[in-house]
Amino acid sequence: MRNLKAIKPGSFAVVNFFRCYRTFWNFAWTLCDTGLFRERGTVPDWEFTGYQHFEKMQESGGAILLTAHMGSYDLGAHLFAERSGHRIVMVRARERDPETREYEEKRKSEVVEIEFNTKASDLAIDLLHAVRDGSIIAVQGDRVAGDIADIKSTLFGKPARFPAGPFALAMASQAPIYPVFIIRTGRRLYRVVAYPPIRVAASRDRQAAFTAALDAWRAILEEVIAKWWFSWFLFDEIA
Amino acid sequence: MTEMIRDNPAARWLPARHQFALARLVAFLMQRFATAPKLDVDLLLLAVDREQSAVENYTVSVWFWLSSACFLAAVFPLHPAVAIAVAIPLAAFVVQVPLYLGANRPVLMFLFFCASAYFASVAGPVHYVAWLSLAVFAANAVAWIINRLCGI
Repeated sequence: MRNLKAIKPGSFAVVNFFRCYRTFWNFAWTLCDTGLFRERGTVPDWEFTGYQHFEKMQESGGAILLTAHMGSYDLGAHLFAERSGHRIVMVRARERDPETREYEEKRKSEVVEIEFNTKASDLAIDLLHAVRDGSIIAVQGDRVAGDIADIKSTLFGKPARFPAGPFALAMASQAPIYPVFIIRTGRRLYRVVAYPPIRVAASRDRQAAFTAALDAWRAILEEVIAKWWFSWFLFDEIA
Repeated sequence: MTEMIRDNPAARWLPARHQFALARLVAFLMQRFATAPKLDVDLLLLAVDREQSAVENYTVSVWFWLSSACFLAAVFPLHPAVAIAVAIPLAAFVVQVPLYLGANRPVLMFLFFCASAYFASVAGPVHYVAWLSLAVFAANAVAWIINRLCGI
């Protein structure tokens, strides 16, 4: 509710309570859709906006797909794998709950390679090689989980930490960062929203280059979350 | 894997995207006679899956839930207003009980049909609800025959 208060300044607590309900309801449906896909192979309907950016990323490879905690990565990965010849490497935090982690391990996607961001230094080299070899690296850039490098900024006016990894990788590899979001907009209906790429200039002033790229990412993120707040599944307070 | 149709908004009304015979027939008529919607996104991929229609699924769910609530309210020895107030939330759980006992969707529908047939013979307002449900079953059966004859 505090996140919604930040997203929608001046909103009433009682209205945000129902907005919370809608967000959790939407999250539950996303889990159902993921379950249906894993168990029965059924896929939802897909709508794309900014398809030209998505297509360009799929064709060229060697890119960083920066996204947020929205939609279902299983469904998204399936969609990307269907439409791209490039290897997709997803970087994410490990599930905190042991049972959920076991379930994820048993039913992990066959089309996407998953790397956990717990061994940051080793992973950075591997990811640099992967992106240079044409792989698409998918990272969630709206939250920092655990003890990983971060950049401090704001989100909806509140102090927030963003992962530094995607921007460092983009600077080192000179690969473009494509902001792509998967949003559940209806029953078995998802929208893929892709934005023009963000480039991180190769500069001696690393901080300035990161800040410029982060500002661009933050502006897009705020626009997407403000519009589709009900599909943003970040249940920790913005910080 | 599910078949997908690209950039054809009219395919939303594809009968194959609907489950019940009545819904398939309505979808067929809509596809045939309604104005095709415009493509308002860059790319549209529609899954050909019989459980894909949101309108059909929500309509059937609401009909099933509210009718079940009426049947439950009819058996409660309470004032009708109180019985309905209690039955509406309770029905949402009660209708799931057969599923937990191993019943599948056809069995659930058969049980609902039996309940409708029983309450159709009971005196009081509930028999209107029961007759409406029986009419829906009958319409679905007629639609099934039409679909078979027309190859829908």
